[in-house]
Amino acid sequence: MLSTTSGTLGTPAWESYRDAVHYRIPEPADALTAYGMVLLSPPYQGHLLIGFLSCKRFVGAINIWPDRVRVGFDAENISIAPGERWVLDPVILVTSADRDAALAAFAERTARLNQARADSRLHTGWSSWNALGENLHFDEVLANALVVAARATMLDYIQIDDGYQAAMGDWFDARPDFGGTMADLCAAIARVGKKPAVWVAPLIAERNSNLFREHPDWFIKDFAGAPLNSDKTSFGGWRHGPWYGLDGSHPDVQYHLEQVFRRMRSEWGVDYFKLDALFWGALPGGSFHNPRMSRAEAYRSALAAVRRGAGDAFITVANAPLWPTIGFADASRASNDVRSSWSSFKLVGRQNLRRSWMHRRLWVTDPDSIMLGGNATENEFRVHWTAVYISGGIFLTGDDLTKARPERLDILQRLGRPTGFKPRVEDERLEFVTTDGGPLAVFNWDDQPKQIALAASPRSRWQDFWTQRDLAFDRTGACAVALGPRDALLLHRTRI
Amino acid sequence: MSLTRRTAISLTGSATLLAIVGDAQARARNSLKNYIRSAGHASSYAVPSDAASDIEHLRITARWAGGVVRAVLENTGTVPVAIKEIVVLDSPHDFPESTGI
Repeated sequence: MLSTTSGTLGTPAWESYRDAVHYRIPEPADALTAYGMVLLSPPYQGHLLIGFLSCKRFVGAINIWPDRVRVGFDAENISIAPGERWVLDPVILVTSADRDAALAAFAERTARLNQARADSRLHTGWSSWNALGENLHFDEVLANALVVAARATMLDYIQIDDGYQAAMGDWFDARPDFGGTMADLCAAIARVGKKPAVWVAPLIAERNSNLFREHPDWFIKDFAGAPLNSDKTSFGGWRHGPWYGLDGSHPDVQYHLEQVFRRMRSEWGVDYFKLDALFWGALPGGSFHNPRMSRAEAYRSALAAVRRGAGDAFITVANAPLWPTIGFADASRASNDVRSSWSSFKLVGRQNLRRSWMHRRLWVTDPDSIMLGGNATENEFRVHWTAVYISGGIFLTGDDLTKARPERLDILQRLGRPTGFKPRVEDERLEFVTTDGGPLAVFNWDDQPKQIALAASPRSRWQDFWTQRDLAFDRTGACAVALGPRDALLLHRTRI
Repeated sequence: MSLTRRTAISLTGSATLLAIVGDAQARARNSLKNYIRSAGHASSYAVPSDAASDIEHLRITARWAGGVVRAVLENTGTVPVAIKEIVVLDSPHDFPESTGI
């Protein structure tokens, strides 16, 4: 539901987490399983996409054995009553000689059916997570807001990430050593001319929270009727676990969620939310208050309540089951958290490119933060910045800007605002990425230098954004571009 | 597009190489068409949670239109049936292991 698979049927490869391992989602051990969609590219034949146009009723899976494909739904042991009819989510098969055309056709039909929010504004901001982590302090956030206001003026939002709250689930109780209240911090951010944005994990609570203590009946249950400890059936959470998933089929939970977001909007003045850990609202292996509802339906009921409270606020999601989330989210994270290292830049950059076909079709891409500081080389940073830029998605930076080198802050100013272009990955190695009329990116993900041959039409001039150097084409329009190890070019066309 | 990646492959040499490539292409070329054909006749079924359940009255219909299959599961019987899984398409394939995903 959350992971990305690449490689071949014979040798599949997973970009980081696997659904079956990390999230312990049950699947046949001897089959390759994909959720939402799979794109098959047999040699010499073009491409076949098998996908679910929606997953509103049940989570859809595609199981591929060496000789058989099975497309279906986990019906979760729900009973179908006498005379009852279940209209299932539609499945589509798309064939095309062009990989991107198959993905685009699928995405556009999926978007229509789910009323996708793909035209949302492309926001910019600073996020506290990478810089300050879970022990962030009121004063540190405000200090960064002041730097943004003075020296990174294109960043509109100050995103207060995980750690401000006393406990997972108690979003209005500040951590005792946070240094103030969220209402005061949001007001202070507004006073320096920036907008507050807030991280929330609305569908979880920890055992130590007031929410859990006061409302144990609001949570997904195990089969003994107790709140389901997610560690028993899935991943227990990365901080203050094990987490318990709120039961979106429960009317009181829906009311609670609506009120949480209504209050954050009205009392904190927040119109940008980053929602995390949403998967726990669709935990496998539990039972719901309304036994007629599936995991997807309970989850979507919770999201609908959030949206009622949040109104037209911008919502970006992370750790979300993707297909049931279409139509709710304005933006979606497509990658792991970025850290300032080559291994992370490579992993996150490639993850974002693999899902880039979703951008401006199912939602806008949230490529995670632009990192400015750290020990990576200049080449490696260029790969990272280029991958974020070419994603066309939102821009957030994640460094402690009070300590950032001025020349790195200039990078942000140079990048400007997100482009909004739809990237098109031209090759399976993710080395050449074009956009619809905008810049191009050329990547060398390898540890060795590489030459890449390009061909240009007459009367065009191409310049690398980072070095400001023009590409030198010969009379036939050919150019051999030399890339260093772990390097990238970001090419803009200028007319002659 | 006014800038493209050059992907010309140098075939310096041999008719043998071309023949091998051609043969491989011919063998592999049909797997996509074969699958499309088999998916059109794929079986659809529901798996009850309890294998002993009477599934005689569970009816699943799958209708194709323009590459889209829409399935409906109906219980025409007189007792509820708990459902473990609903399979919309179950069909064979002969995609080679080298099929990209």
